[in-house]
Amino acid sequence: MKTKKGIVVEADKNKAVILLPGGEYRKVRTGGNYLEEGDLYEYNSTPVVRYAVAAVLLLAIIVGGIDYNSVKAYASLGTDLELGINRWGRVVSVQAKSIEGQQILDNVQVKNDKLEIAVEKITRQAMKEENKNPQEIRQNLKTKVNAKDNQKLEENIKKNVNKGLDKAIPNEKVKINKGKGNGHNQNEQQQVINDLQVNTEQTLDEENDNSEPQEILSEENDDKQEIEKEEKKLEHSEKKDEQNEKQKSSQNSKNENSQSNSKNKNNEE
Amino acid sequence: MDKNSAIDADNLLYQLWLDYRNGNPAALDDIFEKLTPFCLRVCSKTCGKYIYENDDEASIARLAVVEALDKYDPAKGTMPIFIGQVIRNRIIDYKRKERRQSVISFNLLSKGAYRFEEEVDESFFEEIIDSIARKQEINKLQDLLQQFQIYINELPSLSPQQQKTRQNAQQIAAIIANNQDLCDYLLTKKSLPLKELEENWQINRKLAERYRKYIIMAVLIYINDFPLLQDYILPMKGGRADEN
Repeated sequence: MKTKKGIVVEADKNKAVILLPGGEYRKVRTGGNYLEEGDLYEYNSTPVVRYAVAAVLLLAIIVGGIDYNSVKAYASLGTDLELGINRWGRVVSVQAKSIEGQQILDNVQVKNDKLEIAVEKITRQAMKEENKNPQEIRQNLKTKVNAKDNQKLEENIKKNVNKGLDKAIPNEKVKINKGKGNGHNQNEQQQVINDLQVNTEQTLDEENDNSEPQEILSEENDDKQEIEKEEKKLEHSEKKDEQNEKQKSSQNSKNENSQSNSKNKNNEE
Repeated sequence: MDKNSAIDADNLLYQLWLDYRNGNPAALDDIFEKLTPFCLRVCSKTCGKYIYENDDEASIARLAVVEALDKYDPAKGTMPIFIGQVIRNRIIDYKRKERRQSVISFNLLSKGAYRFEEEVDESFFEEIIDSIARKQEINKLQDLLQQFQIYINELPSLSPQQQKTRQNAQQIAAIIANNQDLCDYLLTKKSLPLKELEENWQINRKLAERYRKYIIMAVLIYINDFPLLQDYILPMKGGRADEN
């Protein structure tokens, strides 16, 4: 330990002012030791407190770094990818379980991202590359939590994954609606269903062919099944739309109500 | 304490002692006047607390001085150290007697017992003499600083914390101290000649304003006769400052 000798320039019972070599004045605690002006005072110049603080900070950084990278739970997205998640909900490890998964990883960076954002990125990339339905990803989602009694973490992870999927889904819904040639609101989706139903009935009325009743019926049944499937899909997506984009749908409905009215007139004619 | 002044003091004391031995009673008063700070400091260092002139220990010390003057032999060593040893011995005797007579054991005494009974050599008294010399310089500096409304207890908060900044401030002080005009300006107007320093010496005005009091303190030490303090303030003087 380095010690300096300073001159006591002022002293009382518990503290003193020391003039150190180099012209620095410092207040020190004497701890009850008797000192008088003019005395030499041995001062410990090693900044113990500073070293202690620096050591504590370094330890905190190291421990924090280890803890940050410590995986607390895994989320498997389908059979392709497995994300390792830390206690703060960030992706700290990514593992591809299949070639498709690796392809996705090659094009997207998700490390250190929040889980919701990582899932959104991966889902968008997956839809781009493989044209996968986000519902498939959702159905194949699994979460696995490392630690015991971590239900909260598991719920949080599922919630964030769903959020990420939901963010990726709106784009897909728009594509489907555009493919049908209609707009993207409830009224137009319902109109698609109506059109299909109407078209099916007209076909049956016009043909009225007894020689092939089974085919007609089967066609009719097929149509009905398709319509039902479509209705289910649309209902599901409609509910989510309502929750997420109320404002947009109200604006769009104003614009497109006028369009749908004109179409109704055309159909009637 | 620089050698010349120490030798002068010793010679003066020796002369006074000779006067006293020759029967001049007034010499004893002069000796007391010269030795009082030293006697009190010996008592304080021995007892581990501040001793005032009207304390019992101070009376013991005065009696010890008379005893030392009667017994002193130049062959035994320098006078201040001899007197200091006699004072310390008498104080220790007094403390022991006090401890024996006290019914309740005082924690202070029991702590002090270890301190005042430990053996010391000549360096103990030489250090006391040096301390007194430093204190005299400090007292003079305090008087000078008061004219500028600067107080020692505020200097820790007013001094630059970083070594480099401190050196820059000391350089500004050296410039002022070495220039008669700047020095006169400072002593008459009681403020730093900032404009001239900035224009003629390209001094950082902000630094000079921020550490104004520290710079003035350094100038006062530099221009007055403070050899002991200068060693600590101005490393450019070739002193032992910046010992790391």
